[in-house]
Amino acid sequence: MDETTFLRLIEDHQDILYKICRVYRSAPEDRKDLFQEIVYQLWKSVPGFRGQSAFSTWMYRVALTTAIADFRKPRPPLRYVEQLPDRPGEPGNPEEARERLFRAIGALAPAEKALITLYLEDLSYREIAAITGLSENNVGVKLNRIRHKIEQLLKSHP
Amino acid sequence: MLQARTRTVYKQVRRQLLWEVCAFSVILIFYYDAFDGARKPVYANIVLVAAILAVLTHSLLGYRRVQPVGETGHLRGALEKQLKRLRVYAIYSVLSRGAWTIALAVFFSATITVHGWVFAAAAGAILTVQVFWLSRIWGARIRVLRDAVKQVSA
Repeated sequence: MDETTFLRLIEDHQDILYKICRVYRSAPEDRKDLFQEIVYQLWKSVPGFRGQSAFSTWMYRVALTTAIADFRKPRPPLRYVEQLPDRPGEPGNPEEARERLFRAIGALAPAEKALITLYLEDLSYREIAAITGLSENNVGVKLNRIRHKIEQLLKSHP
Repeated sequence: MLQARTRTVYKQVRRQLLWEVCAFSVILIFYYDAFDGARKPVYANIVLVAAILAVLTHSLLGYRRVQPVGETGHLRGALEKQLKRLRVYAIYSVLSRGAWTIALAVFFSATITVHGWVFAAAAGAILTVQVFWLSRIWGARIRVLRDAVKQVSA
């Protein structure tokens, strides 16, 4: 695979990478670093991609391995805002709900994050099993536990 | 972005490696005159140089460790491979730093006959703290990865 084809494929699938970075890193700088690291690891791993699976499936494997195996200490999450809001966020706001969901996912263990990220990407149990190396049954059992855990997290931090 | 030298991780590791190479090279060049290497026994000089080389090798291996994760079938396999590499590197990290402390103690206490035990006790205390501290750091890193492997295992 040449560089142009690779970069085009990355561009086509960049949403996947942004989501993984969002789930595994809280601070924007850490996310940028992780994104950069994943793209580099993908490029270096390209010779190992034999086209037996979809590019996205292969991309998930390398990206998730990179995100989980990186042990560097993350920066504390700091968020700067131009202006302080006049009112608290609306409880029904979809953006707020999305943010809460990401916070809850962020509190999960690294491998749980991987499973729920793949699940939220609408991948089938079979596809998740192929990426992670778990059996389909195990994927189902583990996802049930994770969903329950997320519900608890959302309840305890409304 | 596809070049190794532009990566943030690479830059950090390269900077650290450069610092360590410079610092230990200065020690290697000047220790003989500055710390009376000529008056020390040959074995003390050899031990010190070997320990410096061990620490430098450790840094170089650290640089290699941030190289590609590669494609190993599925996530569990890839993480198991990373865990194995991390364990080996952790052992080498603790051993090389311990060797450095021992080498310093051997070198500086080589010609001391009186109160040599003070050096040995001090070096022993430093070695214990260092090994304990490094083991804790690496233990925590390995635990995170080991737990991740467990979670993606049946």
